[in-house]
Amino acid sequence: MSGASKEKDPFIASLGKIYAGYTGGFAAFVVIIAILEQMGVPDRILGYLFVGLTIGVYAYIGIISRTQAVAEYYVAGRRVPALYNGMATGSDWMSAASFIGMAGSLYALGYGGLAFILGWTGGYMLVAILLAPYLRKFGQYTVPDFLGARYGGNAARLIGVTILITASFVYVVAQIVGVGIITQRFLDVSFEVAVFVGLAGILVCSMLGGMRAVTWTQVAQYIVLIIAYLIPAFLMSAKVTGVPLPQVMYGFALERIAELENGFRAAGMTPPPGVTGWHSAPFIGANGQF
Amino acid sequence: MPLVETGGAPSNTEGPAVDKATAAAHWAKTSSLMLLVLGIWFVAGFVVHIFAPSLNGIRILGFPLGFYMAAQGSLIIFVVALFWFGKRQNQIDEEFGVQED
Repeated sequence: MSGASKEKDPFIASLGKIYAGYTGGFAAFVVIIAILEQMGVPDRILGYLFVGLTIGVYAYIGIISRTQAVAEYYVAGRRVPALYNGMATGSDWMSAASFIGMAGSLYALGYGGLAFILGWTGGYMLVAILLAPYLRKFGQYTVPDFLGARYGGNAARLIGVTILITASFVYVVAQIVGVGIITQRFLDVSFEVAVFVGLAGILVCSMLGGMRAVTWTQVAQYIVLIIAYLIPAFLMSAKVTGVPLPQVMYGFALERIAELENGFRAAGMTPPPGVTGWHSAPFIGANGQF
Repeated sequence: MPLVETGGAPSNTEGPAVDKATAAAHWAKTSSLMLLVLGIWFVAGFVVHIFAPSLNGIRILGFPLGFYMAAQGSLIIFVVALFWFGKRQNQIDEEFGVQED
């Protein structure tokens, strides 16, 4: 926040162009993959291409972002524009743990699974209100350091460390299992090998450049993720309800599910294994009506 | 790979000099904004969902309302509240001359 950081950084100034070019490149790549698929190239080759190219791009960003300055490594020099930081955080929100973990939890737990969505979205609010502004003004890098300085002494620091390790351990386990499953599917290797291949990819992306590399690869991933999230949902909504607005229209899909599940219940069927109950059960009123 | 410190002292040691009264007034406004947004967070995150079973009796476009709040409503409230919080905090910082840059 000294005078040096005030002058316009040419890299920050051209971010819009860089990521617009990247998005165009990604769209072109998807079209090429689609053409190859139509030409009858086997899925396995397409899988290698897709994983290879995307990890290649992330690794490239990771390597060009390499740094040895502490402030760059831990907090990306504190000069990531808000929009891009939001994109990077957003891609954390919807990373492997949510992309497949959340879908699975909602399938298995139904309505109760939504507690996870509320929890980790609401958690960002707590971070933004209680911690982030003060950590930034504090000028150091880690939450335990901040807690230690704010409350004086190692007890606060220890509590911070314990909570951080607990939370990030659980999160990283989910994340790595997700990485393993996805890599396994795409590369057609065993789960154990897939975990290490995935971890090697993550390492290349993040180790050399720390937070700086992670932020810029996350922005790149955000663009891929948001496209990959939205297109299937919009297509599905258009196919099922005729209106390509899933956020509004899936209420009708919900009614249809309740109807079908009522039929299953009437036929004396039970929910499939691994699922805790009929998904529409919490919405059935006392009169047995959805 | 050895990491090196650049840029000298952490920025908190060179912060703008503000007198005690201004700092106290700034903190009073900041903390009341904080409590307000935490209140919004608590209502949207917990209170609404305590009443989910009765809200589920109300249906809008096929969504049971309690379900809708958990799936989308509360999240929209969170995001809007955060944008508003950021904007409001910046206004407070500027009012007391302690904004960044």
